[in-house]
Amino acid sequence: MSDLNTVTAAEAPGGQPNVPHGPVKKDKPRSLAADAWSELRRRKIFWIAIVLVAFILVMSFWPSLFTSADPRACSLSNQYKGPSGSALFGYDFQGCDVYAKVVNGAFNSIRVGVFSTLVAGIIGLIFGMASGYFGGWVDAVLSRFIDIMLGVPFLLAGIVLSRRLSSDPASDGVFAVTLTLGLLSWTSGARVMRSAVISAKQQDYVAAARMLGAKPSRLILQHILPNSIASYIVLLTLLLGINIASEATLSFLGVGLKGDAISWGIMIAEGTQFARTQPWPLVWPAIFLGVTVLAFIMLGDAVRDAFDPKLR
Amino acid sequence: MFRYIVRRLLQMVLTFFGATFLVYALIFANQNDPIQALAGERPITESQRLALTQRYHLDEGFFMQYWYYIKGLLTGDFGTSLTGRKIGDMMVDAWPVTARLALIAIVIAAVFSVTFGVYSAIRRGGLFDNLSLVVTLVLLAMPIVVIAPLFQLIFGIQLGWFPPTATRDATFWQLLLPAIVLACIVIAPEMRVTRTSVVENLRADYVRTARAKGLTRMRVIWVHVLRNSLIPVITLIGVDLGSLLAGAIVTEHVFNIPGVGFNLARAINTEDGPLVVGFVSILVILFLFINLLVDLLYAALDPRIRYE
Amino acid sequence: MTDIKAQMDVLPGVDPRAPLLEVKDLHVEFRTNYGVAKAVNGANFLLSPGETLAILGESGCGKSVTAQAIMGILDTPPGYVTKGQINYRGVDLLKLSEEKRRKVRANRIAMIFQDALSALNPVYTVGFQLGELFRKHRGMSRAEAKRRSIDLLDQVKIPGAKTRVDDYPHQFSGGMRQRVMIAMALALDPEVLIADEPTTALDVTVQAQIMGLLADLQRQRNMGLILITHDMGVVADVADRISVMYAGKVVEEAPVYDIYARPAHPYTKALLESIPRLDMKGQQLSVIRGLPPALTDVPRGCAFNPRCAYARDACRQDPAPPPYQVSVQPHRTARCHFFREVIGE
Repeated sequence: MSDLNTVTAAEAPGGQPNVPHGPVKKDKPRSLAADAWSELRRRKIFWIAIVLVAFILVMSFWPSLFTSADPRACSLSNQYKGPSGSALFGYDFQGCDVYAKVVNGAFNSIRVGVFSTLVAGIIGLIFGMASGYFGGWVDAVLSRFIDIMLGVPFLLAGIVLSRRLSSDPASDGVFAVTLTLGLLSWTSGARVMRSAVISAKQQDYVAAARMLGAKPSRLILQHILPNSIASYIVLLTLLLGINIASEATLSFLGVGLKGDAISWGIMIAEGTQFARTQPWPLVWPAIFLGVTVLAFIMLGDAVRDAFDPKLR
Repeated sequence: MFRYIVRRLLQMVLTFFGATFLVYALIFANQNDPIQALAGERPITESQRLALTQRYHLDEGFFMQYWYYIKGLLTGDFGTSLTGRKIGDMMVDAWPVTARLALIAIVIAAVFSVTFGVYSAIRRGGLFDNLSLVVTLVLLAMPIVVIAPLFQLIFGIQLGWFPPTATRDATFWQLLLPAIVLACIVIAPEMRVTRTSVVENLRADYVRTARAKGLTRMRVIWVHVLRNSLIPVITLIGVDLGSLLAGAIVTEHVFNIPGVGFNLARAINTEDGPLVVGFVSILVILFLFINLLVDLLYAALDPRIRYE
Repeated sequence: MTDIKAQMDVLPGVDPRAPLLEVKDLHVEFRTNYGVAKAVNGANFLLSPGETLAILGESGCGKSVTAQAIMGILDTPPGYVTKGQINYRGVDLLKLSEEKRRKVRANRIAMIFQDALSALNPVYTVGFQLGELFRKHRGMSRAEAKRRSIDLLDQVKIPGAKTRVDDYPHQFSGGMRQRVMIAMALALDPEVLIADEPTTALDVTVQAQIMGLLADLQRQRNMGLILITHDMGVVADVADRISVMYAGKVVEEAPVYDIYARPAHPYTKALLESIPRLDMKGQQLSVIRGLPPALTDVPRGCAFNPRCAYARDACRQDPAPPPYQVSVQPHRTARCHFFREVIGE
């Protein structure tokens, strides 16, 4: 505050005393990313999430590290056998090794989750940036379209679209479910990207670059995108968890993965029917699904908290 | 207020046509054999084929088909399922059960999330707050397909505290456990929003005024802060309704509750296309309508919108 | 006037002959993650019925915090009163239970805030927020409370009080909102009114109306008024006495005329010299060098010494050697070793 103003300038509302911001010890000024990283490093929840995610990824790509049993080698003579040394989680009603199935189910969950999130991420990125950057009628049309998308509850749209896409009875449904989830889950990403671009556009340096004659494409790639991408990636991490859960839900209802595809959702559906006789074929896939989703949500949540200083 | 309602209604009309068109297009557009698509993998007779063609006006152009479909929706004619029952009648039988289930779930969720959310906020950083942050994170992440079967297994079958399945008349006692399951999906986001909103409002100037007026702490929080904090929570309940609907499909399926979700899940399993189309359409309309109600409630809570 | 007997029931130990309000050596600190901010470091003043005391100072000098400490509405945590006394009619408010303290608010000591729009609850009508006082403190019915609320709105000269009582805060203009605030503060006939920058958020013409209204009401009710402000123009018009605060301390306290005529503290003097004056047009405006200190890092000795033209070694010693706080004249104190020089020039 300049000295001239000390007497007559309007006082800041709230009447709180001048508490200096930032740590008292004099650090070098740090970037937001470095700040967020040092915040993240101290959080237990972040490390738990990282370990879980790593574990799940290893399990989905190298299931042979965990089990040598064939999840499709089922024999009715093993029906409902309890846990044993050869089958840690016992057998289900078709006599399949539950442990082998659960371990091998990770691959489909991750595959559908990652690819559907990528599809949604790309659609959301393009639509959100177009909406925010061009504004005007492009924004109006896209925003109304998102409103309409949100007018249909996610699962209902999922049921209809997934049925529509997997009309071929021979397919295992992986492609159909991935596309369904990708096409339906981009709206929140588009909204986040749109507001990020709009606020970035109002920054002085972007206006300056524009006045210096920078082309729109260059502006987007060099100035706007890097500033908005961090929060977008966090959002996608959360979406990955949600999409994995959605795949299981669709599979559970019978419109997701089909045939002999191994899915935790199908296992839960089958396990539920026979839970009175033998609970383990229900419990294990449920736990694995729950922990997987939790791991991604925890990761996204922790990173978001670290990047959002307001919540600290 | 009037302008707000009119604008909101116009928005709803647009969304209604957009959403139903979307659903309809997803089902019928670019199908080689729409009739087989409706019936799924099961074989259909020639008479069924004829009936479906007539019903969905499949011999006419796509937009005419959509027009007939909309006309049906607006006049309450939702068609007939492949089993021959009128979808409207099935809906009439099913909706009271689902409405009761959803109502119990909403009440449970509201009571829990508001009390715990407020308590977390006023004891911010305390043991309860940190604990509830972890619990809500776990709840937030648990898909309904995990919670519903596991709760049924643990509390219904193993411990036997609640009936694990419902009968045709679906009593309150039978609906309680499924309602708790449903509430679990919405408690976490509602509680978090309540907490954040109360924390923000506790810092507001009007709270200082209320304290300067010599009001008790209870009155400051439950009368002055809460009314302001509930505004974002109410909007969230509208959004959550979608997940509640989705949750009801799985929950009713698991607990065998003869509601809307149960019928829809069965329609999917038996490949009863017309039933799926009919129920989905009705649910979409219902969802839009309740969202409108929530927005009006929002206006009632916040006078600044009411007089816009 | 208020019924002393009823008052005795609520507050045992109230002595009607004791000073209305006396703040002694008040210390308040804020304990944040970034360190302890000493917001008030020994504030002293005295208020009599019918008197207007202005507390003057820059942003962050601790004047609003002092007011909040008197009201007992500091945000705790992070704010804590660490030392001192706040005596109302001989009763130390800091030693009262929260329940008794609560009843002192609005009943005995009331407060008006700076920004009436955010200080009023946006989702309740003005009538509800006024009537609440009567219902909760006086046990009146809703109808009775509403009638009294309309009376109050009339008293603060809000036109059409009968209909406006059902309006929401955002439907009032800035000046009218501040009148509502005043009505709310006066509802239970307090003896002390604290006004924290009551006119800062208003237009200049409205400012004068509000200050006039406050002065009228104060005269009618013989209230003690504490006016917190940074505006020396407002102070000159209405205040009887002035306390100048700097970095959490009252550095000078004196009758208004003396302060303007012969300031005894270098800070006060510098403040006065930095007011633009018509008769000095064309000359360089005098400014105070440097910035007010951060409250986490108050300078040793006299907090003003780094910016002070009179500062010598004695000013940098901690604790300050006597005579530091001195009676300049009867009813007049200053925290300066060299006040004679300051006055004398």
